[in-house]
Amino acid sequence: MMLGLFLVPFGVGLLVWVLRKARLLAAPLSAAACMVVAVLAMSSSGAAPIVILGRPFSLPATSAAHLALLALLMAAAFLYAYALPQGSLVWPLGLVALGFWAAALMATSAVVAGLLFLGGALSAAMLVPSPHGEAAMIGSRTLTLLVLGGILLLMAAQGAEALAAGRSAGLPPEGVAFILTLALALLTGLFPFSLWFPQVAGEGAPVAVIVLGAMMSTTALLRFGDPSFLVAPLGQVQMADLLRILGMGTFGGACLAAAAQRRLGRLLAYAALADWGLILVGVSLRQGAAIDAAMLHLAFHNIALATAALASGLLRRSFGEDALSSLYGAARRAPFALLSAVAGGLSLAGMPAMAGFWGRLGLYRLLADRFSGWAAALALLSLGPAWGFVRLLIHGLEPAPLPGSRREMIAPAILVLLLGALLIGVGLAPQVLNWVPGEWLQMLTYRPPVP
Amino acid sequence: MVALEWLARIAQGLRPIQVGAVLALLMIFLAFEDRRVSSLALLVQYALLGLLTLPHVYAAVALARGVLAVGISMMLYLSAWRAQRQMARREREAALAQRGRRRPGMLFNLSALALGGLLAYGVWSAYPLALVPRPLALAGYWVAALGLVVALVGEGPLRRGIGLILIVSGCEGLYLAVERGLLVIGLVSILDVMLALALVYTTEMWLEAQREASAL
Repeated sequence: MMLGLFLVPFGVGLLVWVLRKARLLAAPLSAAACMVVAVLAMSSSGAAPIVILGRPFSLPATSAAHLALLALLMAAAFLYAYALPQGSLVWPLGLVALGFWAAALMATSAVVAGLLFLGGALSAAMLVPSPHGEAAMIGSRTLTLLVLGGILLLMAAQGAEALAAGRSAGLPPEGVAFILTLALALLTGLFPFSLWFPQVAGEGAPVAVIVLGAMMSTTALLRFGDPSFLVAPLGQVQMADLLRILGMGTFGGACLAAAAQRRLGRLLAYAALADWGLILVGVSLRQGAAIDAAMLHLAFHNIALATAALASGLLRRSFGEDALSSLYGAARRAPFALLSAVAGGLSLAGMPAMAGFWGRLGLYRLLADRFSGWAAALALLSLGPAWGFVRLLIHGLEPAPLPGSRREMIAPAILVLLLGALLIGVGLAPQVLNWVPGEWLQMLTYRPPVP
Repeated sequence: MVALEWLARIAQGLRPIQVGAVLALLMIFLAFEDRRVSSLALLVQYALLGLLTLPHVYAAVALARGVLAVGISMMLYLSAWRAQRQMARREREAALAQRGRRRPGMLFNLSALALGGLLAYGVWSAYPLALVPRPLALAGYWVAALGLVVALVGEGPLRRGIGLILIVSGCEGLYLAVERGLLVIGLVSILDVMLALALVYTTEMWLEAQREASAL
């Protein structure tokens, strides 16, 4: 069953590559493959490891839950891509990336996980280029950064494995921790390397934003982001400190940048980066409760990012561009997309009545226990992204839509609205989380120590 | 297999100075502005690193990686040929002074690459790798450094991509001397192919965008 977790995406990926011109077949097949991966992930957690060419593979519980959630979000994105075409390679490349990252989460060896992670990153980078505007050059730059980050990640993984085996890594544990954190900063767009993601979100397709912004970052965090990944205590302390500094820097910088954005794609990217920075701060606290809160918030973050990215694509289609000033009257032309974009954005900003608020509340409280001043400053800064999405709402509620704008497509709009409603529903009534089976919720938040 | 054994014996007898001579040739290839010549440089570095890693990998693996290297080089050469043709046509249409532009470009490239090579030599002398033979370590460091320079100063996705392939190849050369697991070698080879595919795809999209821009 565990083998299916990467054989299904690769196999169906090959099939939909052959069928890529037949959207009617490729989209549902890809979505079905993602759903199979989600089911397999939930049922494979805790199963006995399998051995491939001498290397063991097993899926930890937290990774299983997040992988299942990501696979479901990808299924929604693939169905959406049927209605709003984003290049014929979106289905095979998305599935191959999912397959690689599922395998990376399962690989026990850090080096093998690093190689598999890089394979997924290369597939994902191919989602960015398109023959329009600057997308090809942005794709090339993204590819360069991901490859450089991947090489650093492999160096760190090799070092961590050597340290765990009691061999010389050629570097002290602090050096390995530094390289690992640098790799994570490049791969997930942390400050000061956060420029590539806003460019991708500004010019790239919504599926590329979800794959690179949610799937890749989550895989990197789950497999390599926990400081306990490094066995040596000195390395753990160094990595936790660096993650905290980078996380706070990313949060602060991205919040300020978000407040100044005039385009929805970039606003969304900076809001997502700010939220991502806070998740890393939570992980860096190295307390059971903080990691639980960060993991739960990670799930809300991914749903919110996917919702806002898909809604942003719909708005771009209706209005021809995504400048906030051109989205006048969106409430009339694309009401579902507008509502979902605002819900996703405000959830990313951690505003009350949104799912993201509950995840953030836990993180702020834990942060306040140790750095009360910083917690207050971070909470205040989060008004930056929120203000951006409130501006979107104000423009959207203007009575007269711009001439030339089109009505939203109803099928993808309903899909996006369902995601938006989920964020609002959890935000207004967080007790609905109690409906989730207890063991699933525990899987989502509990993170066993990495040996 | 006899040929491979013979090549492995040659590889074991190679000295750093001989490796340095091939690396200097590689540097000259990379200095050319013409993308087709740069993509030929890939074949040279694959041959050199393949030869130097031959004593450390199984014969069948070496053969498979050799075939893969030829395939990747051909793929990138074809892409480079198309890119070069389109760029030349655009430049002719724009009536740019081609000759006047090319020479300083090549000189600049050569000096930047020489600086990269010098840096690699310094690192190789200062930080010898215990588990990697000295000629292979020199080649690995040098190729990766040249790749970094090409990726930094190169224009367009293809040239930058050739730089990326060089960086990856240099690191792989060093790594394959210590890692013999089939899964790892297989994954590394898959990544090589995927990187080449990503570069070709990005270049094609870039060319398409250029055509679209010039048609407007």
